[in-house]
Amino acid sequence: MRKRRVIRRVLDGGLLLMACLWMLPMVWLFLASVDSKANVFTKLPEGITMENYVKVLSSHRNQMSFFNSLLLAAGVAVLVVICAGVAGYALSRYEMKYKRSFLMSILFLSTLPGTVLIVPAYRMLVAIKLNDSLFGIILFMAASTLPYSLWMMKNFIDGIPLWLEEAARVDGAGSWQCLIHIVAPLMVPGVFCVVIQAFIGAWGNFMVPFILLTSTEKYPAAVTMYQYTGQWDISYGELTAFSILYGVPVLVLYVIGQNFMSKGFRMSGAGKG
Amino acid sequence: MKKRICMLLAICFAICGLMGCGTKAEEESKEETGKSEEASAPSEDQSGKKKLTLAYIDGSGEEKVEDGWIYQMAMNTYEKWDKKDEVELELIPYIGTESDYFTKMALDLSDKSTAPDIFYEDSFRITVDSAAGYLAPLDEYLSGWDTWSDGSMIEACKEAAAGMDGSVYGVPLATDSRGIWANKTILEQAGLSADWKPATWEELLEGCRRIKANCPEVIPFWYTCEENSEGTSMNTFEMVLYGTTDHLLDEESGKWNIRSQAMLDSLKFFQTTVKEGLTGSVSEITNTPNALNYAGEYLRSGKLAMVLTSTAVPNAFFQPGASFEWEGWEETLALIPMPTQKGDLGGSVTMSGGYTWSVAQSCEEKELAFEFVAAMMDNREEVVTYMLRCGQLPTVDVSGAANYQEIAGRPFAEQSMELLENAQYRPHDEKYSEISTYLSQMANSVICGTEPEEALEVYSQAVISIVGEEQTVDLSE
Amino acid sequence: MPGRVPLWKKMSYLAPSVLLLLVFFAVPVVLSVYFSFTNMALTGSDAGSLAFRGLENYRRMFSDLVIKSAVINTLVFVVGSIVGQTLLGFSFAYLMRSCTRWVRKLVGGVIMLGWVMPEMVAAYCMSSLFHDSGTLNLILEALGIEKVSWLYAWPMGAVIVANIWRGTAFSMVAYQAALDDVPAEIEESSQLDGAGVFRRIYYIILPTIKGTIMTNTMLITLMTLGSFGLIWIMTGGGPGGKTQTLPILMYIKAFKNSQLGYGVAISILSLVIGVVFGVIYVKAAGREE
Repeated sequence: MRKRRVIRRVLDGGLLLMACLWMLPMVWLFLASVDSKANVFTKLPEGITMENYVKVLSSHRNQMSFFNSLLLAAGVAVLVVICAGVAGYALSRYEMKYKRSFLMSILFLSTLPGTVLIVPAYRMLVAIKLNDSLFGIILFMAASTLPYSLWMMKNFIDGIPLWLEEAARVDGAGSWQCLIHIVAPLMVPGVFCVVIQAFIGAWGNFMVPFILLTSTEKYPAAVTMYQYTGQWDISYGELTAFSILYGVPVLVLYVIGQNFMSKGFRMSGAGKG
Repeated sequence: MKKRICMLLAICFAICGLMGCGTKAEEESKEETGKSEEASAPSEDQSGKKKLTLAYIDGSGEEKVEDGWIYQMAMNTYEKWDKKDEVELELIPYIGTESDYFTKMALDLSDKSTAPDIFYEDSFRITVDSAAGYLAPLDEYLSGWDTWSDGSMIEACKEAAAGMDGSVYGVPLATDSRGIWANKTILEQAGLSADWKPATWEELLEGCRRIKANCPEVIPFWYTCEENSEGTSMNTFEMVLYGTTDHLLDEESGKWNIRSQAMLDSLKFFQTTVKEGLTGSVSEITNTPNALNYAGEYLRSGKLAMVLTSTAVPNAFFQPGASFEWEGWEETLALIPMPTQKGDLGGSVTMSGGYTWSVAQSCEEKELAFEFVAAMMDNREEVVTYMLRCGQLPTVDVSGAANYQEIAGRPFAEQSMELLENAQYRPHDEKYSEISTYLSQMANSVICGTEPEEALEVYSQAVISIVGEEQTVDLSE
Repeated sequence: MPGRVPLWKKMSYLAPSVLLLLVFFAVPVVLSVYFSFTNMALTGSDAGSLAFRGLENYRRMFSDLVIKSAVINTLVFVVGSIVGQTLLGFSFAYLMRSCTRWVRKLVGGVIMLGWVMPEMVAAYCMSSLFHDSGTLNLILEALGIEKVSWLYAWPMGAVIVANIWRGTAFSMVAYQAALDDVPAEIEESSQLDGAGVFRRIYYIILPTIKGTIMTNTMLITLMTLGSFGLIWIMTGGGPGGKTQTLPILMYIKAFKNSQLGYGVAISILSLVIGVVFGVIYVKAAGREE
């Protein structure tokens, strides 16, 4: 018993140490954001101030851009979940020819970096007049995230025992009802994985909105972050404050998602009952 | 089955509705920002008014678009323009790094529906963009413009805006020069005078050696040598190379010089600074993108004597509120011209580039566009204000402007302008930007330890592979 | 049951995804591939006249020395990331099973920070860590050890560490789920048989989660092959091209040198490498479905 406790303490200590090490890269970020004279070197603040945060938050341009980012990321996440959820179900449950090759090929094609696809995508979007629009970007980013999401969804649904649905069908439920009432609740952790992946991808993407957008009011936060990089001098204080604020929503999403995900795992016990 | 289709359709509509809300919010906010000149469709005329679009990169760091430097210059000019009632002006600011801006510009210019009418262009890109057919030649309009012909525009700047065929493709807006910024206190400590001006490379190196001997804690000479960076080519390598007789390109024949003794000498200059410890640590001077940041910090804290860089840098780094805020820098620093190899050829070197206003080839109202550009340049007060903010040098004679004293009194303004008398320009060839990457790689590799001969051979081979052997001149023969 | 589902029904489930992919993914990909056979450029005289060049870009690739080193760099980067992320991800997942609950949540959250953070911000953070005057060197100085120019002396190491910092969370979550699925009885019985920790892991657990290992490794490979922003901001591909991976080279060629056609050809090369890896994984995993 004693031994177990000691092991546990040692593990705790070790893991906490690792967590501290893990936080090291962010030291500069925090220090510089409250530094009135921040520069690229890691140093103690020359005068602790919240000025940077105030400037970043009160800027109308930044407020708009955060809103745009939210719109983009949420739009992408919703679209991806719906498409991948439905398609993943079909890919998992139904027999189809070329299923594997389809999945594999889109997965591999997605390794092509976005910077390659952006030029033809831009030309194409101009041709269909979707170029300066957030909607066009949502469609494009959703399509880029779809391969991974399909893959993940399919794997998650694979993990849900088939006989649950069969039992429901025996009880008279149709295919669609199976999807909504039986599979979907168990898919929640899977859905959250996909949502987070899609959201983070869209939230952090700079190249796509930068190239595809022209109007300043539509720029998401990933692009407006660059307002702080001048030709010679970079306003590090504001840049780091912005970066921290920029990362917060995703973190919040993850924390919320954590709760759902653990609930989902508990529900998987429904199969054992 | 109908249910399923309905569900799918409902979801699609829901998404569209979401987007619709989003667009409404955008439009509402558009009115909030008060940009009433914004039109939603770029190429439609409204109520018979003509329309000009002007694209630029907003490097001002101001929160509100309306406070941006170029925005102010353009809008203030527009308000006073005599054609204001006939023409609508739409400003399109871009945010991002300069290279991203140019990538985006190239994309936009390739299609008529997305190309702006007037845009902010780096003179460095005029050769490539004009070769691509994106830029409109402005010669016919320039000849009728007083400022161009009466000597108000600096002659040397006109050269920067010319394309490969000799036509002028931009109206020079701003220019810059380069030199050595030196800490006078350290110079004196080392036994050199406060207005020391080395006349040759050897004298410069001697001065560095003195500083190293007498002030061991101080780095004598700093320059940046990032890989794959145009900055390295222009601010560092060409500042040295163009102090010799052989440059990169023989402008008359259009052939590129390879394997030249001059390049070898230039590379050896850098090698010497590294070998004798006359410059910063290799890791710091080659660090992308912070090489110049280190110089800023060391200069401020007295650990660096001299740095070879643009004349706009100290103002950007040391002014109140900037990253390396340094009170009294104006008294401590001196601007020394970079010497030529042997002291001849005018005695000093400065590479000059600058920015221009260019008109797109796809612009439907080229003459109108030019008139507006001319109006902006003729509005001397606005030009001065812009220069004061961005730290660059005016291309037109602003001595008649009402606020001239503000810029004349600016520290080092006069000296920076003086340097322009020996201004040199980068090759007017569209292959330059590609060759420049190899140039910076060559300089970088020598500083990292490669022997100059080897690095030069690699560069020469690269040039041959880019332009073909007939377009090169082998100066070793 | 599944065999009786009519084709149109299956297709309707797939329809929205396929439509999206077709228009916004397949079309750009096809266009890109087409560009790789041309002299496509964003600007310069080539931009005005798009000309078909056949296999010229590809031929050029084979004789270009820079490509060879880029491929090697890419492989080193990918393999390094896989090893690091798998080891760390698995270790964390395994160890966190037996620690205190709040420690698990806290440490898990911190590790997730690396993944969840936007790429640009993460790149700035790692840059600041490895700077000559950055966090790591500050600590070394405080401990009395001499500073190291990490980004200059160990550039590949630095970017690999950065990538591991970013990606471990993903592997950790995957292994956590996989370990949860390992039946407790097997572990307990082997413990009773006297097997030590490492024996248990190697002989019992690893084979059980083989599927996850394979899938995870493949996903890491695919994600890392296309990784651009992180390396670009940290080292720009330098010094001396030591961290110039295929995506970085592609960006330089396509956007800095304005040779989009050549750049896309390079991307196709990295795609081919990805496929090769994929085939290896599929063969190694056997019939794991």
